[in-house]
Amino acid sequence: MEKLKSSLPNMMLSLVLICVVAAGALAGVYLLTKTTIAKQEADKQKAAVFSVLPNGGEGAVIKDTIETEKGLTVYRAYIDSTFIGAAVKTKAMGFGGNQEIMVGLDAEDVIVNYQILKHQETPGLGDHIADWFNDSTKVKSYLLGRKANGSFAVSKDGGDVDAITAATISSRAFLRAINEAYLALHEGEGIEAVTSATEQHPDSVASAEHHCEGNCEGKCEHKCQGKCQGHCKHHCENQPVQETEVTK
Amino acid sequence: MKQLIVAPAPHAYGSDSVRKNMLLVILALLPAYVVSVLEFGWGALITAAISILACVGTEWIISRFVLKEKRQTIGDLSAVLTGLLLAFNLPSSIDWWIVLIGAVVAIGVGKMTFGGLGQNPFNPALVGRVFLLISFPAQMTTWPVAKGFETAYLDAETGATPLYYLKHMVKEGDASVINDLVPLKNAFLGMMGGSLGEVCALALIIGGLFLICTKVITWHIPVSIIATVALFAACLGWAGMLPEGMTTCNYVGYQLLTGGLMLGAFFMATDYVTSPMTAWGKIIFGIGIGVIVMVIRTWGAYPEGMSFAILIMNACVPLLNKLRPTRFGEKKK
Amino acid sequence: MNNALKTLTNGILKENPTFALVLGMCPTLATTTSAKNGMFMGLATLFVLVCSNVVISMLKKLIPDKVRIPAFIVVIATFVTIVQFLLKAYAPAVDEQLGLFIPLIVVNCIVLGRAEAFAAKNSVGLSALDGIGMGLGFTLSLTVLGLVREFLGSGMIFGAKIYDGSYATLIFVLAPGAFIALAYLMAIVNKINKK
Repeated sequence: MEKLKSSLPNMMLSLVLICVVAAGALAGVYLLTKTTIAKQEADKQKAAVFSVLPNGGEGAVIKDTIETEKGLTVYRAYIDSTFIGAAVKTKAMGFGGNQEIMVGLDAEDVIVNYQILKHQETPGLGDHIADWFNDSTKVKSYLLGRKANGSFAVSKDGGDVDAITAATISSRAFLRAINEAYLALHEGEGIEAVTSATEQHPDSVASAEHHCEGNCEGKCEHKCQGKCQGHCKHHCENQPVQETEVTK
Repeated sequence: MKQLIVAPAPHAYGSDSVRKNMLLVILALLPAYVVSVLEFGWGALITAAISILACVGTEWIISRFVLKEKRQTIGDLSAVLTGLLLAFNLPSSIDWWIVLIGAVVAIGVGKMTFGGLGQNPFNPALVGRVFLLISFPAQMTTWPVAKGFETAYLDAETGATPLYYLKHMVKEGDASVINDLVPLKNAFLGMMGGSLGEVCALALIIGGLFLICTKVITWHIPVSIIATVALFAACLGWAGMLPEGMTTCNYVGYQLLTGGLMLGAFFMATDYVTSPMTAWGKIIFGIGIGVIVMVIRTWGAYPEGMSFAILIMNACVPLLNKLRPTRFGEKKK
Repeated sequence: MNNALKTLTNGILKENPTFALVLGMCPTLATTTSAKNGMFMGLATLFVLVCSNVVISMLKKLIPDKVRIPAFIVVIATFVTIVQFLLKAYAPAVDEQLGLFIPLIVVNCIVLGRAEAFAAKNSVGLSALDGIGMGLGFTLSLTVLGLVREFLGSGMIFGAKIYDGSYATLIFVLAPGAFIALAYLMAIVNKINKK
């Protein structure tokens, strides 16, 4: 058989034929794999949720899935209509981009486990978020088993959690995400955030006074920021000056 | 090399040699080294010793066993200088095996891979430093607090550098750390945290002036780097981009006196092999380094960018060498 | 028969796509952070390469010269998409690791290069052998590169811990380390090929 000449009808015919066959093949493979792909994705999501629930979420059923305004997703888990805890898909802006974290809190707000879903932190520094806060040998940064109250902060900001060595920004973001998760879980229950010093809080002016209460604790040596400045100044003037911890 | 001279008499004997120039540079580095030994104690001695020995050793092993050269080049002291400069760029409390890796990479990858002294496109000591900085970011950015000979070699109490605080103030708008900054005077005299050899601006400037006076280096590169950085920092000040509580004057001072700027400007950027040959080439080279270092310090991820700036401009040297003076008798087009 | 054997072994060392032809650098540098990733990337390319070589060799008479490049690309893209569907369905972990680089096989120089330089001129059998040879060469070099980088950069080989990761030189799992490791491996292969 001779090779086809490059005439217009020939070219069109051969391209159209090839495209039709290719499209047919793709459609076939797509149909064959569609259900498996969908199942895999659902499984992945489910595995992430259950891995952070108390007791691996054994016997639990996810009843409500709530999306908050800030884009957080709360998966509330129940065993026989008793609330056992919730997995919260939370996020915060880290050093290199958004950190997406799945964190599990039990019914008493104790952190059960967490899993990093997505992050763009620096390898060797910020990416230790995956194994820093769940390492039980590091007492001062171990978060599992601690009760969340929305006020975790790194020791540099006056909190009591040790930041990752040389990656304070990533650690702050991580803690912010955990705090956000706690708030999302209790959204609508009237619990006001006890924010960390670095957080920009979009409170209304009316609630600022309330918000500042308690925010000054332990922050005096680093000075409070933003709208709490005035409030905390008063607070700090009555406090003895403390030794500043040497920054890591 | 004397046996090669075949021209008729009379001869003017130039005493310049690689060995002599390297010796002068090492001499010029000594004041800064003395300061760092006084500040960091044993750490400074151990780190420098390991670095120099490893650099010389690597060069000897590679040229003896891999390249199988008959004539050894370790006598020209260039490996010693590379080792010393590498040590100057490391925190004094860093683990010995990290220094060892840095030295092997500096000489092996940075220099001998390209064919030895004179053929390397990048400053070997900086290749070693940047390799370590990317590989061991935590160890490379943990600096001991200077306490003289009481500073422990390992597990020393650690502190951050002034540039780190500056970065925080600029990037996060967190003016609260301003009190943690060392006063400018201390930065000038060398009482601040940082890598082994970069802490004392005064000693580095003395060494640099010594090199310019003995004509080992010319003024073009250091002056253009320092002027560019000063101007850039001043422009940031005039544009109102400084953190709260920081005057333009202070800011310029911090940018000049902290970090690796002086060390880089006088000793690293002026390396013969990796800097341009002509005066204008050198000035453009220096301006490039100044701009890049300020861009990294102001907007980049790292608080300090001197080593990256010099390496990036090293890559431009072949292009800058196209800027040539017209030859005698050549007509300009 | 000798010819067939030569076609098959050509791609492994003498005309190794990575180290000798220096083709397909994008996946080579980006996906070889570990030996496993490198191997799967190589295998995915191998599959596409063999299939596209065979199909293009069969169709070579039917494709007019002037439209051969679009025709080849459509064939290649089809197989790449099929690979992606299959990976998503049956090996989601691999798909997540390789991510964008699977669709990028479409523009991998080796695949189009072999279609153009070999499959369009040779018989179906030889084209299949060429695809296998080249694909194996690519897989081999990506696996070796991944092995070196994983060992130096994270202290592991195929995910098995060899030494403490805190002693590993992190640069090798990052972009600059990819270039350094590739350069030294290429030097070694050049030295071997010269003999």
